[in-house]
Amino acid sequence: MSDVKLLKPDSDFQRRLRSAGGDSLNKCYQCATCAAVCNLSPEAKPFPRKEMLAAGWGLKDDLMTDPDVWLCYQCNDCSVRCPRGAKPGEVMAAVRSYAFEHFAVPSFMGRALNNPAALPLLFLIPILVIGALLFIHTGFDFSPLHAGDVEYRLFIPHGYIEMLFISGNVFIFALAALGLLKYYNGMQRAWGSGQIGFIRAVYETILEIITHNRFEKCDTNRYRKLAHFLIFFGFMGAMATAGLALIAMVVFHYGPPIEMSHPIKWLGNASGIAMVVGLTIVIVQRGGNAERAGKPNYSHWLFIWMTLSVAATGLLTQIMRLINEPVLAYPMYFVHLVAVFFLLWYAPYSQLGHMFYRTIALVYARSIDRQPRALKAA
Amino acid sequence: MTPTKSKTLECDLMVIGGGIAGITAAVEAAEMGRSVMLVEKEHYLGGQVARMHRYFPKLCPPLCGMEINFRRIKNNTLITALTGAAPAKIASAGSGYQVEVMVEPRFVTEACTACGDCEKVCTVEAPDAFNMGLTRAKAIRLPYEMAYPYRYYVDKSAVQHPSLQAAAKICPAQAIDLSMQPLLTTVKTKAVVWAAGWQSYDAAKLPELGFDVLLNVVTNLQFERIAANAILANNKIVRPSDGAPLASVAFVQCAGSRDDNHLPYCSAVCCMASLKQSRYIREQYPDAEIHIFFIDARTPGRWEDFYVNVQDDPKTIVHRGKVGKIEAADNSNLTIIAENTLTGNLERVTVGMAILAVGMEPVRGAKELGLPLAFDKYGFAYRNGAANVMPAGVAAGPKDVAASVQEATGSVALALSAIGRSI
Repeated sequence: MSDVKLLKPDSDFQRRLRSAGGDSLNKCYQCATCAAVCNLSPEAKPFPRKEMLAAGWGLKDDLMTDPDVWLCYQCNDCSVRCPRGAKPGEVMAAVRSYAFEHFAVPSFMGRALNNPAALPLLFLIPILVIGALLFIHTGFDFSPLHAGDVEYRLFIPHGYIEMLFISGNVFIFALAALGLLKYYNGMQRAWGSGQIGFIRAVYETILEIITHNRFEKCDTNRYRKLAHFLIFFGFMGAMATAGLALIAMVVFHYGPPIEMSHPIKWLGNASGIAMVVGLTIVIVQRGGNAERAGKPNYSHWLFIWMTLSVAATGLLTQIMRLINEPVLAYPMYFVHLVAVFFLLWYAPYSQLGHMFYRTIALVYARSIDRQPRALKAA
Repeated sequence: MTPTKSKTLECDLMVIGGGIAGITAAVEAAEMGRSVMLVEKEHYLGGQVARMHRYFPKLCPPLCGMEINFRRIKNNTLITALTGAAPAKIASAGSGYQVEVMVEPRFVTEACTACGDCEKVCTVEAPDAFNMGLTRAKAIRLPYEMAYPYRYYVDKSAVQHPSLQAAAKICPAQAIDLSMQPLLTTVKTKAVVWAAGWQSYDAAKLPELGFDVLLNVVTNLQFERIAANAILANNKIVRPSDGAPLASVAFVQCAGSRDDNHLPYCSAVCCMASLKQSRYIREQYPDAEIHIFFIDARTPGRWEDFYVNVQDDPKTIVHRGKVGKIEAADNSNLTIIAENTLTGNLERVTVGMAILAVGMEPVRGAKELGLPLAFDKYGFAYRNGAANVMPAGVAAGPKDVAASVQEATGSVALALSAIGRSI
């Protein structure tokens, strides 16, 4: 009797999946076309047919300890070929959206990022925090700012910003780590311990993320490799730019602002442009071609637009400074700071959290040698 | 070519489609004393059933049953069978219909004795449609071994070829007339049975299953021809690419069926057809591996026994899971990719040949002709008020031979009772 398993259907979980884009899941008749056509699915216990079954039954515990949820990149080869229009790709995306909430510490943050009603409050927090910094520095007396050239350190000193984001990120990443630990332990309980060392698995996963070779295996949504490549490296480049600018300021007492001809500036601008281009591709595909590209739910759109806001306001903040228009420049900088705060501080609870959960799932999958044939052969 | 017009003909019942349903309808009506015009677009009667190697329930060759029906047609003066003919226009006329029937030239007259001398002289070949594009045949040919009418015809595409002029010269019966023109015939009828039948779903729309690219991927209907031709010639069934014997075969169920991207409905006969075809292979190859991939085996009523018997065959392996892809394993072998949902593992099975169980699509055209019938969203016909226009056979919905015959008989009974009332 040891292999008898008690099924614990969770109807609330099922409802949540349906409202997060998985409303087609009950059309599934378990023909398994999806698992057979998926190029990312491993040969033993492939996805997403078994996830469709678990989702249909509302087996939350199974899905929240399943690495395969994140091994899916929503190529949508399954959804396009599904004979019933059950759209396994969309259901998998809905399961992932739920995971942010499930692993969120504190849990109310996960709910807030999935709930449109909480959006004003989520914006209010960064507005108040950055507003407070502004008040400390200027006392809301902006008259000196209109006198000379646009200089953002007059508005808010860069030290304040760095302190805010560095301390914030450390705190938020620590909270994210609690959720990740819960997920990793859950996977180990359900799927067993890894055979391959953790460090090696991490190393191989990082290589894979850099090369984007999993994206290449998609048939239906090939555009995604280029789009994600641009956004990913744009984002990394922007983070690196911030770090290098900090070093330049603190160590070399150079800037800000940094000269337009300086390599740090090149990196920053190239990164911003890459993000805007990548995100435009995503918006065009997901908005105009949702049947094939996947229909984004609320949290997807929130993430896409917030990331675009960060990149676009960042570039605009620089342009406003160059044309030296204080009335536009300072408010734009404020908006940029609010957008960056939103993106980074809410990272584990928003779709940006995929960078944590997907990475840990890829590491775990590597550690148990759970690789698709397409990647093993390569 | 401008068609020649003939004089107006009259009948009690026009049956459109000379397959098993149409033949049954025509024979039943004629044997009840009604005059019948049977209109068939091919140059032979028999429809898709004539292509089958064996059929249910006895797994006997359908040509036996066909022969009995052909004899009933031949001996009944009340039946006029027009082959190579199709309705071009249908209009209400009184309580019945006036139908313009276009008869395509056969280029061979009734004087033909099927001696075959012409075929020896003819040097040009054309694809043999009866064999579903698997073979080519001489441009002047008998439609198939037991065709009715038992007469040669010329493939229209090759009619200009000089070797056919030579054939016309040497024909002992002087039956070849290469100047034959289309004929437009007007027929007044009191009732119509629409039995236009079906065609296989176009497997070229399933590129992921390799049809059209991989030579050893064939449709279920093609496999009937492969088996029938081989056995008729006392040969073994072999695969198309290299004529190798069948060591392993996969049956791919629901290929383009029960699928919103293709045919959303179940064609009702493919599961039994594949189980039947697996027995053709087993009879000749006791050791061949037979793999059947399905979502669920639809074997209604007593056919469950047939399925259970097939499952008892130790070298017939059933896989519960729809095939997602077929890839080339090497120059001629195939890799079938499916998840077996009973083990939960992805399977890559290498076989020598794959048979796609494609579904049945209704032959369309009744709506354009103006026949008072209604159609479901898939194009299958059903009655629409007019009691003297009845659908029958697969034109009215997917079904097997036995059900087609039953439905044809019922349709004729209703149509004739409607005529009875109107006279």
